[in-house]
Amino acid sequence: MTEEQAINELTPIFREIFEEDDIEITSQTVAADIPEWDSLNHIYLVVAIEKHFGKKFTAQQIANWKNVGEVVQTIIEA
Amino acid sequence: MEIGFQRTHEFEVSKEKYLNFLKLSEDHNPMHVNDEFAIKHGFKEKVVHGNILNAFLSFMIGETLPIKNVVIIDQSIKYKSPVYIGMTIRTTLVVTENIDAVQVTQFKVLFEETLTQKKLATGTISIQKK
Repeated sequence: MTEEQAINELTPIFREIFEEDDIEITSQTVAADIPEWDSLNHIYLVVAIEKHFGKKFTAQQIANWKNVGEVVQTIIEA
Repeated sequence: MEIGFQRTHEFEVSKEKYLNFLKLSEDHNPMHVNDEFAIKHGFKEKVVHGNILNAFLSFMIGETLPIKNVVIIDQSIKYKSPVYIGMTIRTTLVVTENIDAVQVTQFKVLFEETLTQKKLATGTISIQKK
């Protein structure tokens, strides 16, 4: 899976979790760019990403996420 | 809690619980308080508030699990059949998934009438360990 493919698949997940139909994400997107990206929505996001991609992450991996690019790297490497 | 771990508990929907929920919810819709109205709309008598099942789910999470440091973060119930005063409801939780990275456990939920084993509602609930 390429970074572009992963971002294309992540975009509808972000839109659903954050309830914004026009969210656009890039590898540079950070939590501060999305007002609704709080700790509880972060949990919903991790749950949805695991389910969608059928992958399991560790607490260490998600603790290291600083931007969407790092989320994508975890998905590609998991 | 491993996948497949389950808990079951039976709740009696007594008149007292119905009245307490009526008071708590402040929902006096005639479907819930007027037998004649409920019968006219296809039920055998007034219908107990479906959301009383949420209260039972609260007990299942808060009182029957082996850990207490949990909060509910998501839940959904699909209603299949009405609940009436006097029913006994068997509620079953089964673990379906653990998302260890965020300490979330997901369950499927089944509510059935104990006497007839009729399915009353199904659902899902997610909790997070704090």
